[in-house]
Amino acid sequence: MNSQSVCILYKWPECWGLPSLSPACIQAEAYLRLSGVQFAVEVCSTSSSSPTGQLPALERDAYISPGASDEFSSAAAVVAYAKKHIKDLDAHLSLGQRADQLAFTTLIESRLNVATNMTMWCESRGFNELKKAAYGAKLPFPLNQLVPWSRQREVRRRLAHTDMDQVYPAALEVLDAVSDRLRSGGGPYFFGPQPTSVDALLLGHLLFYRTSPAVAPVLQEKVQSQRVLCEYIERLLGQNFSVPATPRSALESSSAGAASWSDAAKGQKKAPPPAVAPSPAELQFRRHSYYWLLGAGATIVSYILMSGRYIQFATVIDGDGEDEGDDDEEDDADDE
Amino acid sequence: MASGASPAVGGPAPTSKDEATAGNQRGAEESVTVPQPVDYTELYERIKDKPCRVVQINQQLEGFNGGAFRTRSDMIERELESIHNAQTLSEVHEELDAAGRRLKQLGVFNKVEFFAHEEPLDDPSACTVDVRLEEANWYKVRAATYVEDSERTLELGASMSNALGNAEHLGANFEYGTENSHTASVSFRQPRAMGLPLLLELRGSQLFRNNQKASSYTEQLRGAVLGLKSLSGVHSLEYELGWRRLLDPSRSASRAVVAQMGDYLKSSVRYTAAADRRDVSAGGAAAALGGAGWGVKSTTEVAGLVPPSVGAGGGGSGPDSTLRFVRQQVDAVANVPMDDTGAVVFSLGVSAGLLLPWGEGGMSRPSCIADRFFLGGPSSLRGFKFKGAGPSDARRPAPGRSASEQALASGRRDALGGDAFTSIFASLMFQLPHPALKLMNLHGHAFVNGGNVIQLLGTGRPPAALLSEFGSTFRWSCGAGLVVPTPLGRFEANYCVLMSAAEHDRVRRGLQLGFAASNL
Repeated sequence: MNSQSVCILYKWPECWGLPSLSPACIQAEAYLRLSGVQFAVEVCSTSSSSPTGQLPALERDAYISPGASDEFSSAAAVVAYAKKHIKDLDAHLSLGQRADQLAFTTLIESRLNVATNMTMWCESRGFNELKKAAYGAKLPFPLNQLVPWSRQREVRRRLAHTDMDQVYPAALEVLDAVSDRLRSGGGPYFFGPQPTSVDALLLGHLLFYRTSPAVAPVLQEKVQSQRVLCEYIERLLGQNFSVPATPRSALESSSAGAASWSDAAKGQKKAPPPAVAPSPAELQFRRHSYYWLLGAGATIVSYILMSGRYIQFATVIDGDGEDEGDDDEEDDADDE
Repeated sequence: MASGASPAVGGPAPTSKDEATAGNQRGAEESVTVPQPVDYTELYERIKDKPCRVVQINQQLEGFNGGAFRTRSDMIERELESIHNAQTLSEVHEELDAAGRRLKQLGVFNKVEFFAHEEPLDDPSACTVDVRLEEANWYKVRAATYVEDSERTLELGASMSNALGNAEHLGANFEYGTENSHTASVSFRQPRAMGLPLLLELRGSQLFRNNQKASSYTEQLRGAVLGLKSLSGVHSLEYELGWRRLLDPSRSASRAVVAQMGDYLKSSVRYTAAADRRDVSAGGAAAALGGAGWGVKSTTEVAGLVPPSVGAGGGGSGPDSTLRFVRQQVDAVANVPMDDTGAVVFSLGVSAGLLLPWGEGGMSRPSCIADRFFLGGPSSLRGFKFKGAGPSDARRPAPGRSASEQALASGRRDALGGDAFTSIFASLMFQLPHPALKLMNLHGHAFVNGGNVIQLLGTGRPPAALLSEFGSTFRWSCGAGLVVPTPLGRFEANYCVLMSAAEHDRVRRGLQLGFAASNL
């Protein structure tokens, strides 16, 4: 593990008392905090400001998490990368627990993701709240309507086939199942004494449901009414989110990333760049291109000379007859 | 009806004779057996200040190919109205000239003809004018190719003119480039809007420009432009409101470019003034450069015209979403023939530009990369690759390499452009002596090309240091080559020798081929 490589997480800014106004960004940040790795945070005012075009995004030295079409897919990609290269929180699980982990992760993805997307983008009240919080202060007037509207169109197109009546009851069932599991499980985290990726995914949704005004009232009431869920959230927040994240600018100022004087400004003349010997493939390409140019030039010249339209050669008709190959005389229809 | 002694001259410069003079002429001719040749110029000089007014204007209106005439009559009346103000013969002449010019500026007529004659015969100081107008076709389709910014572009356009009779032009354009850039726009143009010598233009467009090869980003601009242009093409004032989105789909951009990505609001006013005193008709080698003479064009753009209450809410270290800058660019060209035949011409072209921010905190943040100036390539600085000269930043290396390999790998660099640039091009162009080559329009030239572009904003350095850097890193190249003027631009095949280049410039030693677009 390279201790010098620093992780940078790009996310939506903090809002409503949450670490980020987007639940997907809370998921990604929760995973990084639970794994205890050092990371810096870069706040982006629009999703196009992130290096991948989507938020959340993770940058670690040369690596950038792959851009996806959906913010929850981006969060899943961040978590997958962190599991593989930074720290795998699920490594300690037994086989039976891994099966449960897969089942719950799939439940969260298929039901809670859809419900959260629905309430953020398809509900008019939820969308207005989100628009005001996310874009209202940062973007100037026509953009703060246009940019969220174009994102809403994309999300609506993806959710076109889902039935709104089914989505919320399905999410409520999942919340019930989670709270039952937490009650029966004991231990601070979902799978007992140690955190797992399911905790990160759950925290994103639960925290959002509990406090955000952009959430459908059924979901908010369900989370607030279940005491075990609230205690779970408080516990995780207190243990892992107590320290605010380091912004990226604090990291940059300590490193030597600031602008430096160019050599010319310091009075040093740069030596001319060393001539790089061209590779054989390049030499061959150059040779072929010169030949091609020569051939084209020769064709043009020979066309000019031999077509007789531009240059007339005077033919000398001798008594014994010249060979016809040199005969360039044409009808002087348009002569000089 | 014209009598035998007073000939009528067609076209927009007619003359009409005073009835008394014509009568005298007829009398004189009948008494003399041999008709004297009449010197009309001297006759005109004699009578041009005599009172003469137009009492009636007859209109002969023809639609295109015999179809219906579409232009509204009150529009034609408006342009012909000033003819009634003429009091003398020379004023009639001038007013008919001016009216013909105004009708042609509408751009909907194929033929505009005036014919003045001396009806009514009983009033010597009155004349009648016949106007003959023939309309052009109501639709036009065109296809064109051109080279812009190292990308070959195909343009398809369809336009509908004068469909409603107001001489308005509605057009739709689509351009597609070889690097996947495309632009779609619809436009509405109204020449002589409200009777003023102005062209009103409203254009909505969606532009997608792919700059990944040079700078690793793509630009998408959706917006509308409202413009007022003078009909002679000298002045032009435009207001543009657009939504610009910069993205990096390749995910390999450098740090400096990644910090620029995002959504921006562009609300700017642009004023362009051009004076082109180049005379193509002189011929010679200068014709390949647009003619002998000189030309200047100046473009000023002020961006950031939004109400002051809309301010960025302190978005941390990110860029401000409203673009606020002042951009000035001046291009000048002078072509001087060196001898009488015009076979050798000395051409000097200078371009300079400056981009400065305004508003609080402007100097500390870098400007938007899509507004900056770039240098390099066969149009601006020969001897360098396209956008190869100027500040650049290392791209993100491929993620498979370890840290040590990353340090050694000479990665590609992103061209960042700059806020201040200048470029000088001096060349001696000559026609090649052989008549065959003259027919092919092949010229030769020897040139010296220099230029520099530096970044001003966001560097945190004092102006004196920036000025010294500008001077010390000036790039120069010289060379010779062949030039062929084509409809796509000047095609040049140059052999370039670099005299001075800076570190990290992408140079092109030896043979360089390309299209050089004229700045004016």
